[in-house]
Amino acid sequence: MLDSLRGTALFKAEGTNIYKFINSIRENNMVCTDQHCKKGAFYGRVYRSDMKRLEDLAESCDIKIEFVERKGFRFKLFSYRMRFGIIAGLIVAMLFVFYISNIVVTIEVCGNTDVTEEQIVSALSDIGIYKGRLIADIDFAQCEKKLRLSIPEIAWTGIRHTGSRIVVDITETVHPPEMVNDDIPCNIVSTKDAQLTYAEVYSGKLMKKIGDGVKKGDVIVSGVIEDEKGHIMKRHSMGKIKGIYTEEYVFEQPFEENGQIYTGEDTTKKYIDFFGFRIPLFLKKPEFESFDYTESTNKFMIFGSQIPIGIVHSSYSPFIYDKKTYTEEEADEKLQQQTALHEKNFYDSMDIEIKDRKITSQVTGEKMIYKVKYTLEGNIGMDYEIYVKK
Amino acid sequence: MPGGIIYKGRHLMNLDTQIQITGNREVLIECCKKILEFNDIMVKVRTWDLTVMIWGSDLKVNDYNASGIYVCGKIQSVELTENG
Repeated sequence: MLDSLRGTALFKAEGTNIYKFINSIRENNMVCTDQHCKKGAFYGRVYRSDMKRLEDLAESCDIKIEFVERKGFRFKLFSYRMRFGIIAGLIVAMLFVFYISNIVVTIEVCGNTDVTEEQIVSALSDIGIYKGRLIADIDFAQCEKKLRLSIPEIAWTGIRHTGSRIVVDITETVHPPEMVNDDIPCNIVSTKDAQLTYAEVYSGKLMKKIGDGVKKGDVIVSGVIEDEKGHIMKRHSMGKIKGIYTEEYVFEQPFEENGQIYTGEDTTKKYIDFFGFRIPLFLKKPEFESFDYTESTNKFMIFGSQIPIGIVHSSYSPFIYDKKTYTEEEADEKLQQQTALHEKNFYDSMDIEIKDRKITSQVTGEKMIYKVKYTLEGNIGMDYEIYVKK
Repeated sequence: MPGGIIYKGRHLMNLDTQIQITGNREVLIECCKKILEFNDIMVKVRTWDLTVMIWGSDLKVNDYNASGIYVCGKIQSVELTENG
């Protein structure tokens, strides 16, 4: 192995003073292996570094010397010395390795639960940590402070790098539980005109029976309690009160309105994501004034592991702002969507059960109207402080 | 005792001729001074006190720039002659 790195040369020596030459090699501390005689000539193998000395020695001993075989990496390299492409390729490869070792290639986020990775990566990008950034140029301590300030939900952050990978450790803030001032005397009053369906009283006195009707502002659970001896005490009322009530909403959909009209010229463009750099695989950029943009990246895999090279699919859905006209069916569909969205946002998420809904649709000249009457069951109780005169 | 003080001195300085034969393939001769004759059937070398003749076929010499040499090939006999 070492010999092949150093390079060896087989020489052929002929002359009358051959023994003087052989012993001179020994005396000059040259390593000479594979010494043998063949057809009256003497052969031996020396290292490349000794070739010049051997030639001088042969000359002084009046020996004719010829190198018949050259072996080893150094000779190979020497023979490729004029192949500038290989040399340039090697230099480019070395520069590439150096460059890749000194830039941010991947960003990993650990420890986040509520704050999404996209949010953190976007904030990092704003404060100067993004794919392709020179690692030596990043002030990590400063970036940690900036990241904490840019996302209030982050209590602590640690940013470090291992090679060209940036690891962001996150600890999120823990919100303190809501304080209940149970020492303030209060009643529970109704927030709606409703029929009481459920009452679970932890503290205070229930003033109504299940099935009773209550008006908005009526006391359902009283915090004023009188004991057997006639003493009046004021308590903080607590409990779960549910009732059935009705609500009416009106949704409108004009037949003509300004909005986004998609032209239908959807285009997909591809890029090669090469260590964070995007190399377009197209010649002409999409030229749309306004468009919806979505992208997805498929990374290449080697032995089951993702590598930082992949293909980015960018989708453009162009649209224009113009007057949009709806037919009655389309307007009806839009109104149904509005109704569903309203129910999802205001009832489903707040644990309110829809018992019944009555929809009355009405078409005027310009718009379609949905009048929706909901029968709902949900929380109707609200704490109402008892003010005491001192 | 042959050589007397010179013998002892050489022994002390490790200048004695040492010959190590490995099977019939290799002979290592330490403290070799000079190669006197060399061809593919015979190698004749001189040490401080001996002339060593190695007979065989396809003989080759490897010199690793130490004081000894390796004689490789098919060894048939090793002859030792005291230097006169």
